[in-house]
Amino acid sequence: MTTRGAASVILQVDGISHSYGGLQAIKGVSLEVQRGTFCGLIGPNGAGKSTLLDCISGRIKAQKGRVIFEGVDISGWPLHRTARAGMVRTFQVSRTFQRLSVISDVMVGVPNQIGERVVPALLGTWREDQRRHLDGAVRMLHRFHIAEVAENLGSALSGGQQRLVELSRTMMTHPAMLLLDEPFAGVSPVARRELVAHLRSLCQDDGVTILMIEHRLDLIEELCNPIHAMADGEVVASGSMSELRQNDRLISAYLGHVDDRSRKSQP
Amino acid sequence: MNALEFLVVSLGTFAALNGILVLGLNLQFGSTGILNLSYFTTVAVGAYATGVAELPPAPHGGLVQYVGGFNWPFPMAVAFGVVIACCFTFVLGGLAFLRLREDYLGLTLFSVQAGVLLIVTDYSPFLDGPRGVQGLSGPFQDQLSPTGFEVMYLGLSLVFVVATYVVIRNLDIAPLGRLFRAIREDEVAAAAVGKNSWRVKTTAFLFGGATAGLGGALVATYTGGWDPGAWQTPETLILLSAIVVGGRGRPLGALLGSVLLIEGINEAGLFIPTLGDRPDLLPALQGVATALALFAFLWWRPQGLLAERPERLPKAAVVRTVQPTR
Repeated sequence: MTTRGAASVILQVDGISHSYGGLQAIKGVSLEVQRGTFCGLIGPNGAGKSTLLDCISGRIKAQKGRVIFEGVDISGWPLHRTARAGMVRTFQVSRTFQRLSVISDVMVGVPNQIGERVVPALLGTWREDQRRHLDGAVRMLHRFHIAEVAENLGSALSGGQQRLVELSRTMMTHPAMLLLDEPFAGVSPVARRELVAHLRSLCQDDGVTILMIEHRLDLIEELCNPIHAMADGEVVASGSMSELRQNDRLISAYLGHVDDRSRKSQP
Repeated sequence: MNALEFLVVSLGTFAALNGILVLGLNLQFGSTGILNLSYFTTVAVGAYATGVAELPPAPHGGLVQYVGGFNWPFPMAVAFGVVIACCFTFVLGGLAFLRLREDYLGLTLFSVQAGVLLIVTDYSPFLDGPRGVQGLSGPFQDQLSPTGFEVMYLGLSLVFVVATYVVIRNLDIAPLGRLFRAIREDEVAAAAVGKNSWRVKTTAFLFGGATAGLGGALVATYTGGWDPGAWQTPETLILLSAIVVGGRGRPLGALLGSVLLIEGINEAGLFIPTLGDRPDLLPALQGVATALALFAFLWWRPQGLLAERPERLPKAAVVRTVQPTR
């Protein structure tokens, strides 16, 4: 981060390829994410979006290519290391800890807790540190309006609440960048509006850079710019939603059935 | 000491020793979710290591053969047993956790138990095969009367089970314990917020292994020997059943389960006279009773007698939830 220009790119993906057995899921994908933006990643099922997110976050090791995050080459880093570096992801199916209470769940996100080390755990010298973190966790629960379920078990939450718990846990790590894999899956229409507001606030108020996979194009259009469109393991187009609507290759791959209507409505 | 007093003291000692064993497995399985079907391998490592440290060198002639034979006093021998059990656990867990999870991990650990048991049983120069290491003694056993030794060992076992409970409970209620549970519930989600699941699982495995080694060392020196019959797979299954009955993930529950299930059903049977001319009937009935108890709890009360308590908000924070912050 020597110059302002270099620092404005937070994530650079460089020729990532990955295949499962004989199936090449992503073929040399390259993309850049500017700091502070809310990027979308769209594409039909099987386009390689989730695999790309897995490779970037380190959940799986890409077979080829490099991932540069905040100027550091993080290719091949495991999931927990990329998370510590400030790039935290969520999953297509929300992963809350079923038999833990919500407050426990969110507290797991707090990095570098004294009481997670063996000697302080044995001696019990972690209570002061915990009190501080618990305050932060309770504030986070208020922010996402889930404080009233703080003592509920993860298994007793609605789909929308699970998403918010997951997001609270994620935000406890103070990430510089979020990778969201279909954050609206399993969320009711009413809760969806609330989640849209929360996500926008994360980007605008907290300055978190977001890369989001989502199938609902109305939500993508509302939140994201730029948008990267994938098909058959490649990024086929990038730009704003209105720019993507002009892209014939993308329309044939993905937007085919909606293009007539949307083109007419947009001069 | 009459027969009844002897029975009570002996049952108490076994209860304390089984309590130590169940606490270690509860940390691994109950709290952290590692289905360690090779738990009794670690117990055996602790027991054998203590044995060969305490015994004099094996006599020449090859009738009795084992490695080691350091002639160490009891405390050093037990400490040696625990250290070796820790080393074994670290190598086993450290390697297994690199690549294996859940069912595959359970199967691998199960085969480790089977493999080690075969080697120790069939390769006599190592640990005297089926005969095992015999002639071990507890502290001051040569200076105390048999009664005095029984009472002293009861006290010693109780001290150790309390110490083990304190250590494991401290881990359990700390943020580290929360991390154990998070890993049990979903280790990918924990890794996604920066937690190194390998380190967490290895830590739990190591503390469980040290506890297993200590339990093995104490059982071997109490009963005077350790052989392959003492660490078959069912031993681990009985401990797992005790954890399910008592309350998975809660140290006090595990202790309760071991007293009820192991002492109530299994050890107590040792003191019941043989039924008629069928010496095999009683152990079989005990096995049936254990299995029925396990099924009953899994069906009607899967959380066990003392269920794990979810973390609550501290009192001060509850007050603040009433006042919105934004």
